[in-house]
Amino acid sequence: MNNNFKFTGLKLWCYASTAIIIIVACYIFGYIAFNGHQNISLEFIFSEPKGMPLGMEGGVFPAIIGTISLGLLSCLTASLLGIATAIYSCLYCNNNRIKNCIKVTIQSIAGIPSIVLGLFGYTFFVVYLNFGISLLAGGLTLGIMVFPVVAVTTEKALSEIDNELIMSSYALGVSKSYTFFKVLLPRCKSDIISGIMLATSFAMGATAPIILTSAVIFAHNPISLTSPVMALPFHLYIFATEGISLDKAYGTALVLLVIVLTLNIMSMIVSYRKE
Amino acid sequence: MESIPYNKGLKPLFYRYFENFFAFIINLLTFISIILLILIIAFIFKESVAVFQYTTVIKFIIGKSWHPLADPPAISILPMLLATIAVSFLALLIAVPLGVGCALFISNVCSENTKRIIRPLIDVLVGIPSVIYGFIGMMVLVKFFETRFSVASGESLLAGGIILAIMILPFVVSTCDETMSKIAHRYIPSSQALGVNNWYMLAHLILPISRKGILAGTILALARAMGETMAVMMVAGNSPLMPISLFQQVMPIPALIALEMGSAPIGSPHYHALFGAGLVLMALLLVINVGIFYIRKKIDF
Repeated sequence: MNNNFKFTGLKLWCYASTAIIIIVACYIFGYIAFNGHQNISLEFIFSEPKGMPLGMEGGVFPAIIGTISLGLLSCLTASLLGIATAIYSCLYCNNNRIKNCIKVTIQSIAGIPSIVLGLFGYTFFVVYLNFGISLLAGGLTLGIMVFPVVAVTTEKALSEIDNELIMSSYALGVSKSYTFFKVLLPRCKSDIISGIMLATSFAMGATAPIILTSAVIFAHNPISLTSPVMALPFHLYIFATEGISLDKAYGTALVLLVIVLTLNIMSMIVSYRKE
Repeated sequence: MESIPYNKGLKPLFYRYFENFFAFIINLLTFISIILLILIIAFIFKESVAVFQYTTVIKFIIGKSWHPLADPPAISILPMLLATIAVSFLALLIAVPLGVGCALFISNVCSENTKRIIRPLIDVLVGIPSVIYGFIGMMVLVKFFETRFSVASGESLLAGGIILAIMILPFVVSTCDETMSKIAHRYIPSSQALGVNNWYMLAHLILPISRKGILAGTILALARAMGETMAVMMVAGNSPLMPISLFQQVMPIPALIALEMGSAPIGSPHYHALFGAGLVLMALLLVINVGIFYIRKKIDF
């Protein structure tokens, strides 16, 4: 009897918490999709913000372009650093201590809060290297923020490959770079791509680092590496907190959510398909 | 290495150069990634030591007020530090019971097919940008508090805690599910062979053994929660007060930095004070993260 009572409690706990989480998740997607779709039109996506105060009318096109270029730049930085560290600790490093040191370093960078990385980007890229508030500073900061994601997924993919394969390749006198490109890369290509896409989606959604390093309220469209950019998350933040136009805020939120989740889900599909 | 593969008409010399070049690039980039951590710590540290011209280390951490623009400036981050801790622990208090329950469900109760639907749904939650969580918090939660509880302002510690809880839920669920699935995989055959009730197994076997995994997941979620900026900043009200009640407006450290950095001239006490706050937050999180690394190594199931 007592046991039955206990199990009912446990059952209730399991089912209730799962139900709550699913309801919350669906509510979030539903809320943004429902309120956002009324405010989205081709004109909203493909025109510049206009009106007084700025943003009352018009759209978010420069912000979309800004977010995509920030995403590309951070993707490039993150994949260079991430894949290189993973290859180093799998192929070139024979010392366990150095391997551990690399792991701890990556873990630590992953643990630094995004706003502190923003501070670093501000003092190092913007002030010390004199890039100014710019796309370059923001992209590099975001790249540093998300490179641990690429490093961890690539390392995991490389370490799952049978070590005998690498050993036999060496035994045949094949060089390390050739082994990587012809033996390892074909086997873990999809995992690496999935990691890069995941990292890019995180970078595109991040707001805190770009507040300090690259985002401005309005920028004209042809952007260069050294000019400040508009970005969707920052745009949404300004719209929501300044109370300029709620309709536009819902629209911006939906555009941002669609861009980020598309990348995110694609990365999931790529890694699931392999299994 | 002389016997490099010789094919496609490319000269062996090319391969040798390429191999050296490749090794050089890999070494260089790895070196940069390691140096980056040192650079980050050094730059934050360099910019924040200047604050101790105006205040002492002890006063900076346990003083009571934040008036960096006053003359002389009163610089103490205790209210913000306490707010950070209060919001994160409130979030854990909500997220851990829910997350563990859900992890139990998807690792042991539901079928493989149901799991294949629920897990991606929860994983996708990680991908939602924090500014969207903040936006929904503002539009739904804050308004709800204002209309239901007739408080002066719905922006509060409680609202921050709830939004943060939703954000860290996926981390709790995925780490707990990982541990529990491994344990279940190991014990299910023997437990079924003995004819043990599935719920009995959950209560007396899976839960007690996965205690350490749950702890690791909780600490990981805590680290996430303490560093989160946007979502909390948009719903917590942002006044530098001590967190005394649930409906009080608070300002955690990340919100403080994000809000005030734009108005702090480079080199002013205010500027250095904000870097000091960043340094304290970073030090706290570095300790937690290195801790997780070693804990995880020890309790690897």
